[in-house]
Amino acid sequence: MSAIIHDSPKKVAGDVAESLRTFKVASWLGWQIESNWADPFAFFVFSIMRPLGASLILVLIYGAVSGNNSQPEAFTYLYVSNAWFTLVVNTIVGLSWTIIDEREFYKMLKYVYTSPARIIPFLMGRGLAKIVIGMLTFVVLMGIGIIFFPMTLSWGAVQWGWLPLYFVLGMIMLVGLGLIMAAVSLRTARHGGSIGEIVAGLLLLFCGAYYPVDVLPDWIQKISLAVPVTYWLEGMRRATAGRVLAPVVKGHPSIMSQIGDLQLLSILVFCAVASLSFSIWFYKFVERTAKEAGVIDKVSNY
Amino acid sequence: MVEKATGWRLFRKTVWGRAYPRIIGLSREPSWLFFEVVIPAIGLLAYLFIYKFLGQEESDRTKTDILGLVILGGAAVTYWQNILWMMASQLYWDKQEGLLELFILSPTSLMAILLGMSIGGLVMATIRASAVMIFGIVVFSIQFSLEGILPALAAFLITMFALYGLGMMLSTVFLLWGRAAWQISLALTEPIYALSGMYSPLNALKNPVLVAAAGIVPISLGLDAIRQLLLPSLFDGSPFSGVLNPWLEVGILFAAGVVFNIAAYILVKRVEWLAKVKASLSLRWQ
Repeated sequence: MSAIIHDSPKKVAGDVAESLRTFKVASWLGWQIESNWADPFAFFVFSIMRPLGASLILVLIYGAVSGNNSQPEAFTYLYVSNAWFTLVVNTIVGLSWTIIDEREFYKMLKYVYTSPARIIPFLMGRGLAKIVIGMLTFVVLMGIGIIFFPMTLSWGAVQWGWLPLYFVLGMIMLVGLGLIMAAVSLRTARHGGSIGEIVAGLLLLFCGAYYPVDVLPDWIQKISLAVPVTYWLEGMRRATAGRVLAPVVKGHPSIMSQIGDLQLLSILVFCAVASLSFSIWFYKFVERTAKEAGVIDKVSNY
Repeated sequence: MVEKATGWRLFRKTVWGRAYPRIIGLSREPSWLFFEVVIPAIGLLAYLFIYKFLGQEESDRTKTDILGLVILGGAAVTYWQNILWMMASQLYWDKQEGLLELFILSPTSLMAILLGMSIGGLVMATIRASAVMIFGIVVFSIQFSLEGILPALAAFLITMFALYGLGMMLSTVFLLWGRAAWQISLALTEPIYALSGMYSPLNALKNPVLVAAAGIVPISLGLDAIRQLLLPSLFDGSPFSGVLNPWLEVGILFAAGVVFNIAAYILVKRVEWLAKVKASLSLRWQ
């Protein structure tokens, strides 16, 4: 912030242009790495197989327990939430895995640091391919869900005003989370590769991705309500379905149904700003310690 | 002076040499206990809450039985991940590191290397799976049927015989697929979890063709048999039931294991020759 205030407008404009250039090139590089091992169709199929498998797990659990007692509202909650959650996983893993990829596999991280490229735009650009894949996956999952499964959704109910707003705020917040995981990966050898997946797995439990937070024990509920992703998923479910899904749980109004749209928006704005600000500061802090420890170019071979 | 090993002695030493790092590695870096046992076990709770959300947690007994179903699935996940990443993709990674050409140049056989990978991987995965199970039993008070423990152990051993036979087959096939092997391993993770009934009973597939397809992966029938033996009160038909009689499933697994292991032996010879003809043994990043 102080650099922006004290630097000349010309320098700031130059920094922004350089960051955008780094982002653009890193995005192209990330897309090539993700996709150039197969033709587009095969790449598309392989990209959606994992999220499709995760959705199938939920469908099978629902099928196993529902029998003749169908619960379309509960299924819609499960399925829509899971579809949006794929973006959470792809964004966090996309950014955190970039450090491991560049340091361990391609051994290029030190060259990124010794080049004019800006590291944070580079990480965001490299992670963009996974985010785009996540968005495509969401579209495919929702298409399959609407066509083949008993979901209580309609095009007319989608809140097209809230949807992009919640989406953009959520992506800013998730990119912040991904940057934090990338910073942790910078100083981690053995488990750096899985740190993104581990955090995504924990978020699955805490953020109401598969069930309203009301079904959780009280002490876990408190953790859930402190996790920003919980509110983002609620916003996306609400905007997609045009209403609060599962507004009543075990005979009582759900916690999320008591949060209005404006209140939810305020929470998400705060989370997005806080997440991005903190993540940039945190990454810079960890990067400094990594340089002092001499581990930027240290290959762990894990 | 190093004593020269030949024949079966060389085969045995190769198997042990390949298995050793997988077995001893667990004690060198105990952080896996937290990252690969505690964290995934906590994540498994999410599946319990799905069942609760859908109205299945009607009593404490049902809750612990469902958690037992999920924990057994979580333990099975350990084995499938071991098959995908420490078996199927291993030779490809060895090629990337330049080790594969050394294996081929050495006097030992690739089959001994695969067998060592299997044994080491099995030990490693069993320690991890046991840790997940113990965590589940101690923290979540899961109770398994005592009469079912020995039969379940027998079913488990037969399942591993078939599963690691499949793993050896996959490692030879992945060697030819090159860089796509990594993507295929990633892509097969969750679909196999779903189709094999890791987090839901296998009978949830409801379609005999799908069940038969899922049965190609030994872990699906093995898990179904083990669940029926360890959680008989949950698999009483309402709403969960086994696909087949557990001993019929074990019989099928044994036959599959014989087929997979023989096929792995034939394939390793064939793939080794093909890899030389296509000159892909020494090429990295392909």
